[in-house]
This record gives sequence, structure tokens and C-alpha cells, in this order.
Amino acid sequence: MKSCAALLLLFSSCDGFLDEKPSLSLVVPSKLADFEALLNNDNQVFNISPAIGEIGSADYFTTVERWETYSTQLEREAYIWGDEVHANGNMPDWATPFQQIFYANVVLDGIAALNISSEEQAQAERLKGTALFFRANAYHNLMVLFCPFARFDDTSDKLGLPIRASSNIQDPITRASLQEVKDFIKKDLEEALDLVPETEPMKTLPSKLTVLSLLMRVHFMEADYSKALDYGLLAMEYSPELIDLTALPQSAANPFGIFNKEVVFYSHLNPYNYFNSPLTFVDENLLELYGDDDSRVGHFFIDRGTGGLNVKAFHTGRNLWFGGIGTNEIYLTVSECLARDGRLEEAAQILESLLENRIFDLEPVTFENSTEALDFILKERRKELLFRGIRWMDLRRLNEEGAGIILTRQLGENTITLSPNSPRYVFPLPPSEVERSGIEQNPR
Amino acid sequence: MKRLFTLTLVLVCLMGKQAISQQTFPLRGKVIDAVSGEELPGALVKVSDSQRATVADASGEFSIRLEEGEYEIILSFIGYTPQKYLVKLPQSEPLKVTLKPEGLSMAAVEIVSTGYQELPRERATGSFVFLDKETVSRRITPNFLDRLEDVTPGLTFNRGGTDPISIRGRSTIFANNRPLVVIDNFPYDGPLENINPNDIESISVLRDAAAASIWGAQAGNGVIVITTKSGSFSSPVRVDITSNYSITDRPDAFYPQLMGPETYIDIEKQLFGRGFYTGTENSIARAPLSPVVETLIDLREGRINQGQADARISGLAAHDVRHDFNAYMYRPRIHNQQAITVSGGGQNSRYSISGGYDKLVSELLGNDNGRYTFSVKNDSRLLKEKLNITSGLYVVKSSSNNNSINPATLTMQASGAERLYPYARLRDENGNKLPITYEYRRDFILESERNGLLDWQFSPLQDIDARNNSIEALDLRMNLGAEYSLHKNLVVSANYQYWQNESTGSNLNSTETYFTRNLINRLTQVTEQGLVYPVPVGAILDRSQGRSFSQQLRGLVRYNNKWKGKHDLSLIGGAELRDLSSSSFSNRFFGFDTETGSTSVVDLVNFFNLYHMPNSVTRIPNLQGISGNVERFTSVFANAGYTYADRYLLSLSARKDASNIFGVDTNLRGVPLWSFGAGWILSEEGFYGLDWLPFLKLRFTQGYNGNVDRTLSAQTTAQIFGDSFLTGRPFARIQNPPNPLLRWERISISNFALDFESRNGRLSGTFEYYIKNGIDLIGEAPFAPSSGVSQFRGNIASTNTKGMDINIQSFNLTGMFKWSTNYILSTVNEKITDYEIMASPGQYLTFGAMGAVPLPFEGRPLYSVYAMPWAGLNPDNGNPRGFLDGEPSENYAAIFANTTADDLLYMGPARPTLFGAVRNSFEYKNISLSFTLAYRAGYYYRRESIIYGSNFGLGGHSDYDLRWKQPGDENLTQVPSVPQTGNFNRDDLYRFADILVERGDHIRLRDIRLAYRLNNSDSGRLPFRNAEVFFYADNLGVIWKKSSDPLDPDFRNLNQLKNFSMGLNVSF
Repeated sequence: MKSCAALLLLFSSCDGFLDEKPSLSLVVPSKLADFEALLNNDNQVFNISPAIGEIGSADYFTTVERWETYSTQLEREAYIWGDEVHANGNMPDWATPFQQIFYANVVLDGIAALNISSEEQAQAERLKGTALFFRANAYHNLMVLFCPFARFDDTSDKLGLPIRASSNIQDPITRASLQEVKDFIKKDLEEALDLVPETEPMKTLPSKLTVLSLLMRVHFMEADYSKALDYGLLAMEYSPELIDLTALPQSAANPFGIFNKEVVFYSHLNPYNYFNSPLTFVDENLLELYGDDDSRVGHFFIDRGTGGLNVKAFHTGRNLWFGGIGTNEIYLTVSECLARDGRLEEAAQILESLLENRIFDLEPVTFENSTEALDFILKERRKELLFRGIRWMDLRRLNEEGAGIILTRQLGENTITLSPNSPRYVFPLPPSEVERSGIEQNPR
Repeated sequence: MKRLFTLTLVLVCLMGKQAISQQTFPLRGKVIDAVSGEELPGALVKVSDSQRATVADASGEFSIRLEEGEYEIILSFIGYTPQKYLVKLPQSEPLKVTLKPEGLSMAAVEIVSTGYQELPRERATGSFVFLDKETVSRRITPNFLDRLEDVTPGLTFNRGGTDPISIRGRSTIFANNRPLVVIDNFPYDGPLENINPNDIESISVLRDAAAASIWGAQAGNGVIVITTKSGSFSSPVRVDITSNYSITDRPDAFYPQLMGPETYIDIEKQLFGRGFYTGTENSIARAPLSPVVETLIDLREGRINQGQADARISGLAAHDVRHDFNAYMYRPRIHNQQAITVSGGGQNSRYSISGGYDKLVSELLGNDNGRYTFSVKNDSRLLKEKLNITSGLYVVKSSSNNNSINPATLTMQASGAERLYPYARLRDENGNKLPITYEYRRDFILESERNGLLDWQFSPLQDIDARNNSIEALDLRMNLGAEYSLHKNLVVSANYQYWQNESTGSNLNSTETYFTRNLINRLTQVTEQGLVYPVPVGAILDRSQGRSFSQQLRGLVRYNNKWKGKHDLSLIGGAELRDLSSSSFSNRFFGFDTETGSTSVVDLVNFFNLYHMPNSVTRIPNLQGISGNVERFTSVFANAGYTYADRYLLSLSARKDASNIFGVDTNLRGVPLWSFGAGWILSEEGFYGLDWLPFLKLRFTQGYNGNVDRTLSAQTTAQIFGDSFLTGRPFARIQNPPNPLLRWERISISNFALDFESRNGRLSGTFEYYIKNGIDLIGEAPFAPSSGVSQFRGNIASTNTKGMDINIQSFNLTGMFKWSTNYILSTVNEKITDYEIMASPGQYLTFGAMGAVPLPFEGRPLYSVYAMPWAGLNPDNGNPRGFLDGEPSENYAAIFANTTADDLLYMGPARPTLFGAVRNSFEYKNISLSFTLAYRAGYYYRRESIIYGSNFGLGGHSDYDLRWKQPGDENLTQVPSVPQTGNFNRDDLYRFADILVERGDHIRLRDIRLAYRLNNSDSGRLPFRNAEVFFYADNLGVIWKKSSDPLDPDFRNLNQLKNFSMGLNVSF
């Protein structure tokens, strides 16, 4: 530059004078280390799961006064499966997964544009696999909230989600079909399975076991029990560990601790006011399912003298509700798939290995017939996998199979019900999305 | 004013005239110093075009005999600027001639400084506001910026918002919005509060495109050029001392209209009855409950009886914590300022040395700061005045203590309340400092203490005493310049400036402080072996250190030539480099022992259970971090000025800037800026015949300014953070998504102006009209969340601003009793002309008038007040009503759902569109008195009122007492009834209703200044040259306002603080 010629007396050269980056901590993500850092954004981006499904699952209830004073409209409306499930037009349960997808796309596009040297190969694959897993996980979380339920063999044309496969935020936004979304999720996961490491020291990042578990869940939640079983059995080969809750003192304030051995993948639910309130009571019908010899009652719940049991602690080890994948989910899912396949003995055996760690002086588990087996396993599933978003997925799945579960909410004089397979099992998109992208709103 | 010019003008007329009379008359006069008023014995008085001359006698008087006629005389004296005068003989009275010391000559003839060059105002085509020393020193404030208020046409102080001042409206939406400050020819990188106003000789404010093409991309928001004081060549030592003391009103905790203790307690009782506190009572985090609620619980549990409860509550209700705030936490602000300047000069050198000390005791208990300033400035003329070397050194040492607790933001934690329960007590009857209910429940605190934890109480007054948070800073600025005349027409120069600022923050939290006790307690682990303290019991010291430095270098070639008596050309070309970098680090030391300096190691890796919330874990909060920033600029520029026949002016300037904007291709880093200007001095024309208006000038400029948002980038950028909460690994956050189309913002400015001066300068002034068009402004578009981002910043907006700036100076009375008036008036009409994406109606209502993120709306000013149509209260239940399908309705959700941004009522601009001031000055003998009236008009604001929320409006606005209670009240009030269920839409309908929007128009008595001046020249017996004692009162309050709202339209949360100062200026 001309200016440099005049001012050479001070700065010996101008080459690079304007190339200095303005802030030490700023990067244009272009190295594997940068992408690694993006994928490590756990607490703000990746390891958060949507929670309105959990609010809508009716596993807990609150008083009408407390409901009225819940600080956001979003929570109140989600509680009664209302139409206005948003806060000022926005909904974190919609935006956060799409933010995860965007981050994952930045990483995937970035890695695709790199020339990877041979010594970087392993790291690049691990990061790519991780990004694919995160993208699939986000899409699955969205799908169970904003798309109607469809069995794996249902090929009818249903409304899916906008598929974002590139980091270009200017790409046009349209809702793909549900089938396309499902295929997209499975393709990502299958690809991720080959890429993620065998073991991963951080519970916030995926290993082979994590991807297998999610593949199992994805197929299971579309009632494809045979595929779910395939993946579940592969997951079982990793000998997922369990905590022996019967050996822990019932008074332990935080029996699980953060990153405990039952956590396959750490994620917490979007922290809504409900979850920490002493007026959030566990549903009494649910409580009745636990026997006297069940160690979980003392570990999961606490009586603060407010008129019901509150949630004490969960697998996050923090005062946040768990939203990830646990080893107990693998046991219960595999057991259910086996039972549905008529392999009752194996189903009982797997369930027993879980319940040994839950029930004091467990009697051997045996099943007479499939109906009894399924009944038993589903009950155990309900008692074990609660307050983590799974119940919502199960309700959709089971009702479609004819379980006929009716959810009710009592608000003073008013009783609000959610009938099986109601369109209200599909949440409305937030107005900010519909206004800005013009995509089709879900029918209510 | 402009006398020199008027003079030359008349001189031209004189040339052709011949003196024909033979009789001689005495030409008598007296020569005095224009500034000090002293006589100047020995001044040379010479008659132009002749050999006749004389010298002033000991009393400065002179006499010379000449024939009848008109003469031009030239007066000169060492150290003073020679002055020409026209006289007509015979005289009617003796001539009084004033000479200006050389150092001050710039101010005297209004030489405006652009920071690169100084030019007489008459030669300028651009839009400048010139503020001389007198104007700058009239107001007494520690900060020079405040002294620009109400004396600078076009400059507004924005109350609220992220931009404290703006020049001719806001030129940008998101990019840097601060005007550039230039001191002694270089942009100033340091904190503005480091500039001692007493060192300022003059300020020029540049308002149009000419500014940017001189100062480049940093000048898009206008430029404030500060010239510091210098000594004078060939002048004796001069000492100036300034000392002033100022006291500012204490803030008044009762100013914001909030409900008092009685009402508050009433609501608490109702809420308690409805079980509102049951959740908190059993809260996992042991959230606090106010003393009244605790009392009600005690009553319910049978721990006390009804009588005891009533007595306790009425005892509480009798006290209002706002009295405590006023008595113990607020206090008058006291500021005193001392400055001394020694200046002088020999034949070829001049110097100025100054020192200053400022001490400010803040209105908030616990805060104060001090500032020492020191400067040395020196100029030398060498090699037969061909080489001019300038140098300057400025040192500022400042320190501040920040231990306050702001009563306005003090609240009970985790209660959701916006302020403290109003019956809190900070001291008991004996003056002992009392704890308040703060972060945990009373019982929990007591129980914890019994279990061996540290005292967990929080007493605001004790905490202020215990805190020890200070910042020490040292600011150093050095500059060096050399100017060499290669030829009589050609000058080359180089200037260099080095600036450095180091600041050290030290926040020592002893175990006396709540902060430390709380952290230790929260992390205390209960084990079978007893209590274990992951955070050691001891002080916590937070240290931070910041260091910034900048280097700036400029090379310049200047060519000036006048030829054939008609042509005058000046050319400037140059280049500059600027490199600003800053770095900082911070660290936290645990278990710090102030005696020995020893510290303890803590476990920053593992999670610990929280004592008050054992089902949750946390890490020990760490404060270590390192950051760094680099800003670099390179520029080339050229500037040309041409004058023909002293009446046609032409100016051209161009500049190209480039900066190290991140992730941008090299060709997009730079921006070319240019401006063009023309002027026509109409009064110089032969055909011009207006005797009463001897000076009339038209001028025009057109050009482009630029601006950039340095946080944006064409590529995806991410910021790396040290350790994630969950894994402790470094993590990154995407700062902005890629924007390949990112480019510089450009603002085109056209400026039309007229300058005039009447005979004898009795009336003079400037009218300016400007049009600014912002192009490619960076705007924020709400984005569909499914894209992954919910907002996106890009070059998406255009704006249009039109306005007028008028400045008129009138000398109404001259003679013994002098009266002059200065009028300034500005209008600004801003409009967003192009902005594709609309925000939501709720966003416009909430943040349209003032918000961290502006919300543009096509066709409206950037900051606008929007409202919902109001259909009055429902006479049956006092519910607020809006309109749904044209009918009054209480279906709030439907009303809002059916309201689009276009349906909102646009009430008007949120920032003044018309503003200015009138200053009257009176002088009689040695006494002078002046006062300023300032006005702002053409804008709107939203009056605060009760928002019920979900807690019956607990702690909110005192309009609660005016609420609808029974049918019929709707005729007396517009304040809705209390809703039984919290309903935010219902609240919003009322709070955003048009009935709460008020006009902001008002006039305030800005200030009064009374001064008594003593000149040695009057008596000759004083030990000093001159002295001035003054009294100054500032912020005297609103004297008229359009709205009947009792509060000041511009000061909603805290009363504007009246200020009274007195001071002394002495010169030796």
C-alpha cells in the first residue's frame, strides 16, 4: 500500500499489518481444534434437550395457584396442551435444537472444506461423527414434539421439519416430509456410527455406545421393534453399567452425582420453572406403581411437606432434569423388544439385571405370556424412565398402538384432557418461526 | 468576531480614496491586552503606507497627529498578534485598541481546527462548531463532554440508550456510535474522563462529511477536536490557577413513584392468604421470605398469636427504607478541582506546564475517585523558524474506590422482586447497622450458623464498609511533531503519538464481606468427619490488570500558494498508521492473608455439592482469564482548498481507510471517502449593497462518511472460551454467522449553510441545513429460528435524516451595561427508509423507544414510541380493554394475536426532534451574570404505571393506590383493577396503552453563572494580573413542561441532581 511506503520509518514492513486479528479469543473456525471447541459447547448449546414434552406428559401436577403464577405463558400453555406455547413468540424448545443443527453444520461444512492430513484423519472422523450424532439427536428431539407420530411402515405424507443440511443460514426454509426427516436422522446416525470413537471419556460427547443407543431409540419410537432390538443388542455388548441404588443410603442428597456410570450421554432438559418448584408434585397414580421394596422412591423423590412428593435428584447430578441417554433406557428398551418378539426369557433376564439394582430383595422375574410381560415391562419403564422426556415419546407410541391413555389436568374446577392420538400431541410451531419463514403451522 | 475580515473588506474600499484635507487632528488611543485588560506600554503604533509611527506610553496611551481622513493603523507588540484598525479623523472619542496574546490568537479570530489543519472560519466550507475557552470553562464538571451540552448546535445528550451523545442524530444502527475525539491532532484512545477540562484551550465539533473525509471511517458520528493550551512566544511567565468546589444534590429515594410499606404489606397479606408463598417456603434453594411473610408463617404455625403478629407487622409498616437510603446510602456528591498552568515563551520557544487535581466523592456511599493530571507542552522554532518542533507529555494518575451498593437495584435475591421490601431497616434506633433478608430464609441462616457455618447475614451498610474494591490507573500520552519549510510554499511534517494506559483492579473481599462468607458457606461440604471447606476460610482477592497502548504516526506534505493577489491554493497530502492494542488478565486468589500475602490452592476441577441446595453441584467460581484486542488502521488522504478573489471557496478531500476487520477479504477492508465543498462570500461582490449586513457567506458541502461494525465478519467467526461448565474443556461460541456480502456502512451528507454578521458584529450567526442518507447500514434482522440463528446482522438498512442547526449571537446592549444573547436551535428528523424485516409488535412496544438493540421500522425514526389503542376500563370489573375487530374487548390474547406491527399506534419519536438553548449574559463593570435556558421538544415517552404481574403488583408503582376498586371508579381513574390471576397480556395492554404516552417537550433552567472579575489594569495595585470569583449553579430543573406528569420527562428513575459550584481563577 502507498501509505506504507511513506511510513516505513516506523514499521519495517506492512505485510500483514492489517491481518492481525482484532481479538485474541476470536477465530474463523477453520482448524480441527476450532471445530472441536464448537462441539465442546456443552452447557450452552449441545447438551440441552427440549422439555415441553415433559411438561405435557402429566407425570406431575401442580396447584392451580402455582399454575397461575408460573412465570411464563409457555409453561402454562404446555401444561394444558394449549395453543399459545411460546414466550413472546419464541420457544427455546424449537430454537435450541436448530441451533445445535446449525453448529453441527458449521463443523460438517468446515471439515468438508479442509485438506485433512493423515495424522489428522482420526480426529477429523471423530469430530464429523460427533457432529452427525448431534444433528440427528436434535432432529429426533424436534420430531417427537412437532411432527405427528408415524410408524416405521407408515408411508403416508405427513408434515416433517425443515431439513438444514448446510451452514448457510440464507438457504430457503421449507418443511420436508416426515419420511424425509426420519431418513435424514437415520442416515446421519448410521454414518456417525462408523466415525465416533469406541470410547469417549466425556459423557457430553458420543461414543459408539451413544450412537447405538440413539439408533435404538429412534427405531423404537417409530415402533420398529426389530431394528430397535438389533441396535439395542449391539449396545448391550458394551455391558452398560448400572448403579446399585439399593446399596446407597436413602438419605443421600445427591445419590447419582454428575456424570455417573448410568449416563451414556449427558444432556439436561431446558430448565423451566416447574422442575425446581416444591409445588411440582409427582403424579399419585405413578407413585402407586412403586412397591414398598423399591429403593427408587427414596432416591428419586422427596417429601418437603408441601402436600406431595417432589423430585429430589436425577441423573444430571444437578438441580436440572435429565434429558440424555441412560444405560437403564437400553435395558428397558431391549427387554421390551424381546418381549414383543416373544423372547420372554431373555426379556425377563435383562429386566431382572436392571431391577436387581433397584428393588430390595428382588424376586426372580419370570413371564407367563407376552401380554403379562409387556404389561410388566411397560410399568417398569414408566417407573424408571421418568422426568427425562421419554414418557412423551412413549405416550405417542403406545397410544398409536391402542393403549388408550388419557391424560388429565385438574385446574380448580376445570378438567382438561388430552385424548389418545389427539392433534395436540403435536405442539404448534412458535409464531416467530411461522412469521419469519412462512412455513406451515401444525394443525391443532 | 470576524473583525479581521470585516477590516480587510473595508480596507479594500479605502484604497481608492484620497485624503485631501490639510488640517491635522490628534489620533488618540490606548492599547490594552485583550485577555487580561492590562495596558501595554511600548506597543508600536504605525500608520499604514506611511512612515508615521509612535509608541504607547507607560499607561498604554498614545497620540499622533494626522490630517483629516481615514487611516489604517497597525498595532504591534512582542508576544501579541499585530492588529490593524481603521480610524477616521477627527475622532469622536479616543480609540481603545486591544491586542491578543499570540497563543490565544486562534480563538480570537475563530480559527477552527480540524485536527490536521487550522483555518480561519471564513475560509471553511464545512460545518464546524467552535467553542472557545470561555465557553468550555463556563460549566464546572469533571468531564469535558458534559461541557458541550446546550452550547453545541446539533449535539444531543441521550437520556438512556447505549449512545450517550449523538451529533445530528444517530448515524448508525448497530455499528460504533461514538463521535471520534481528537486531541492535539490525534484520535484519543483513552477514557474520556482522563481529559482535564482545564487543559482545554478550545473545542471544534465537526458535523458534516468534511469531517469524515478528514478523519475517515472513525468519523461517521462526527468529530470532537480538542486543542490543549499552549504558551506564547516572547511572553513573560504567566501563571493561571483555577480552584473550584462543587456540591451536587443527594439523589432522592422517594423520587421514583413506588408503593409505600403500608400498601406493600397489604398485598403481601393477600398473597399469603392465597398460598402464593408456599412454594418459596419450601424452596429447594432456601429462597428468602420477607419479614412480614415470616411473621404470617409464625402466626399460622402458632408460634405467635394474632396480637403479637399485628404488633410486629405494624412495627414494620411504620418504617420506610427510603428514609434510610436517603440518610445512609445516598449523600451529596462533592467535587473539587484544582489546576495550575505555568506558561510563557522566548523568541523561539514556548512552553506550558500544567498540573491538576480532582477529587470526587460520589453520591453513593462507598464510591469516590481522584485524578492527578500533569502535562508539559513545548514548541521550538529552529533554523530561522524553518523547523518547528513540538512535543507534549500528558500523565494522568487516577484511582477510584467502588464499594457502593446502589439502593435502586438492591433487592431480595431470588424473590423476583425488583426492589427491596420497603419496610427494611438499615440501622436500629441506636444507629447499629442491621442485616436485611437477602438471599436465604431467616431460619435457614440461623440453623446453618448453629451447624457451624459462618455468619450468613447481609447488612448493606456493614458490607459497604467491609468492601475494598479499587482501581488504579496510569495514563500516559506523548507526542512529538516536526514541521519543516522546504520552501516558502511547501511544508513537510511528521507527527507521532504514543499512548499507554495501565489499570490495576483489586477487589479484596475479606471474610467480613458477604461475598466471601456466602461463597465459603455455599461450598461447605458436610461429611462424616465434619465440615470441609473447599473454599478456604479467608479473604478472596480478585486482581485484574489491563494494559493498552497505541501508536499513531502521520506524515504530511502541505503546499500553500497565493499568486496574482487573487488565487490562494492550499494542498495537503499524507498518510497515517494507527495501531491500538490492549490486553488484560484477571485472577482470583483464595484464602488470601493480607498480613503475609499467602494464598491457598483450591480445587477448581471437581464438582462440589451446594450446602443450601445439596441436590446440585457446582465448581468453585474461578476468575482467571486473558484477553487481547488489536485495532489497526492505515489511511491515505488528500485535501485541497482553493480561494479565488477572497470570495469563491472550493474544497475537496478524499481519504481511504483500511482496518484489520476480521475475516474479510483485503479489498473489502478499506473504504474510500470523499467530500466536496464550495463557498461564496456574497458580501465581497461588487453588486452587494447591504450596508447593514457587511458579511454574508453561503457554503455547501457534500460527501460520504463511513462506519463499520467490527464485531461482524464475512466468515463465520467464533469466540473461544477457557473452560466449559460441564467438562472444563475450551469451547467456542459462534459469534456471527457468515456474511459474504458484508460491507462498510456509508452515510452521505449534504450541508447547506449561511453565515452572516451585521455591522459592528451586533448580530451574527449561522444557519445550516443538512440531509444525511445512510446507505448499507448494518441492521439486525429477526431470523427464522430454524436457520440456527434468531437474528442476523447485515447491511440491510437505509436511513434519512434532515435537520437544521441555527446559532445566533446578539449583542443587545454594549457600553457600560452589556447584554448579549446566544441562541442555538437544532432540529433532527430521522427516518428509516428501508428495512425489510419487522420486529414483532411486542418488541416494538417494549423496546421501540429505548433498548439495547434498536428496532427499525420503515418510515419511522429509529427510536419511536408505539402504543396500543385504549378502550377504557370495563365499568363492571375494572379490566383494561383494547379493541378487537373495532369493538372494546378484554380478550387480551386475541387482541395481541390480531395486532400486527402496522396496527400499533405510532405516537412519535422517542428522542427530541427540536432542541436548543438560549443563554443571556450581562456584564456591568466587573460583574458578569449569565444564565441558560435549554429546551427539548417534539418527542414522546411512556409514563410508568402499575404492572400487576402474578403478584398483585407487589412493590410496583404507586398508581396501585389509584386503581379501579368499584364500579364508578372508571370515571376517576384509568388504572385497571387487580387481576385475580396474573395475566401478562392484560398488563401489557394497559402499560402500552396510548393513555400512558406523554409528550416530552419541556424547558429547563440549565444554569446560572455569576462572576466578579478584578483586573490589575484597573487599579495597578493588585498582586495578580486578574482574578475571577464565580458562583455557578447547574441542573436547576424544569420550568415548563407539556405533560402534567409530575416527574421530569428526561429523568424517570432518579431526580436530576442540582449542582452548585463556586470557584476562583487567578492569573499572575
